[in-house]
Amino acid sequence: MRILVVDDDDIVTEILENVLTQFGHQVTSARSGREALELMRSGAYRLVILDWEMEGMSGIELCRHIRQRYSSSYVYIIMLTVRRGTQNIVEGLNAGADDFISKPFEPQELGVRIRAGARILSLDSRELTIFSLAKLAESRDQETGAHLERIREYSQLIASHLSRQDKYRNQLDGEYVQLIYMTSPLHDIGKVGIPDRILLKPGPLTPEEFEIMKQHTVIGSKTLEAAVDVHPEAKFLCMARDIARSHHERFDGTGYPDGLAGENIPLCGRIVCLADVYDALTTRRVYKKAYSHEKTRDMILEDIGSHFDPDVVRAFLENENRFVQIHDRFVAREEFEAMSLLQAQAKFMPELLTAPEFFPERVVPAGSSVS
Amino acid sequence: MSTYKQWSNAEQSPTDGLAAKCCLANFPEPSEGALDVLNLDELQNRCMGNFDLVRRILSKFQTRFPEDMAEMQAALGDGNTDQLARIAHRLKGTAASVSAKGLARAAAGLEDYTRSKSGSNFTLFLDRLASEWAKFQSEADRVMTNCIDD
Repeated sequence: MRILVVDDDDIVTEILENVLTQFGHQVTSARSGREALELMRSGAYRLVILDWEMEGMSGIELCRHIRQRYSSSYVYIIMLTVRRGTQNIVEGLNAGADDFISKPFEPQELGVRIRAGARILSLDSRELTIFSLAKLAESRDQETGAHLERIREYSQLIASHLSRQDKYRNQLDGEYVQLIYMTSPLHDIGKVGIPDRILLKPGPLTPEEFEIMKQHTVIGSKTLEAAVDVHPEAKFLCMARDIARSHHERFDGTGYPDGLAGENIPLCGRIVCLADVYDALTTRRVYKKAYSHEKTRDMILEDIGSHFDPDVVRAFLENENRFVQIHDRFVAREEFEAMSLLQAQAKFMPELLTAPEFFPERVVPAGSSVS
Repeated sequence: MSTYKQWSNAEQSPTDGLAAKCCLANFPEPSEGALDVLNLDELQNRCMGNFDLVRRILSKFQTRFPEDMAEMQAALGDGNTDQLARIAHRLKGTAASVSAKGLARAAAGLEDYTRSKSGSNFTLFLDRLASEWAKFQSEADRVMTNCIDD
């Protein structure tokens, strides 16, 4: 396991590094809270051992920072301290620590506590399960590629931006941002209940067919509601239900299925709504080419306040470059995967490499979206 | 008291060969008082039997302690008791990790006294710290000189 040790005492750090390395872990050390936060941006560390008292940012402050920041997976925090007593333990737990080790530590105890942490982390398979479920639902629709991967990154980006705004500071925290990353892929899970003749129809839908298609929001939210009934404390299920139901609502109240308007639409639904539309417009579908980012932005701006929440649009505009980066990253990945597949097939059918009709048209090279 | 000899036997050591570098076979078993000054056994256990690391740690600590003392004196001169308590706290943690219990207690005494803001007789605590340090240094030197270099 990759472990980050944070301590401003080089002697203690060296002893810890030696013990952890002998236990078979990969250890990186940081001498301050700031350095630790910088290292954690890589997402490579799921277990952190940190000293309580450090110059500058204390261990408690660092702990809070780690918990406030979004992360695609849980970070297990062990606090190393000479402090004892209930009050200190409560303060540490409130800040988000998972466990404590007294200084001076005993290697055997440290090893046991790290194994306990590893067990907890192995249980954190929620996200994987959710994403697998979403992927399964999406697998019926072959045209969307890495839609789910992109939508969760766009949603996370918007939520993270809003969480730093005064208006939303009390409503959105690191956990909310993490939850929207985890649950936004479930937005279309109700499509499992839509017949193939409608879901996979290449042409425009008739009004009757569209009414049936709209039902995916209800089917999805009802399915998730049943899970909420059993586990009402599970915030991720509540958010997933809200997203599934409300991501086609429009800010002016003309959306579906409930015709909610303004802030009556759950914020997570308003966020995923923009992420979903942005992705649909900037990627190729059977019925349309991929629009450029610029054209998509103009279309979104035209619908500000009618289709989209103005605050969400502002968050999008503030992060335009990162939207483009995410889009290009996935397009490049899809292009690479498509080419790899083609090359593998060409081993058996060499004529593929000279037959333009077999080239993966659906893949739009990075940075060359058609407007 | 058998554990001092335990590390002197390479076959019993968790890291074969490393402990053999230390010729503790002829090393007299420490008294209770000496264990309070530096419990080498405990430190070696914390270092997983890696005597190179033990030596490096002791050497590092011998370099750092005078710096910490100077910093504490400077903090005292500036009337910065928060800084004094902070360094005393760190010293307490380091000394405990190095298994220098007497030194750790002296540092804890200074930290508690400073944080309690109950008086200004810091010199008493700094003197005690210096006295414990002298004992530790002497014991650490004894350990180091009883070891064979590669």
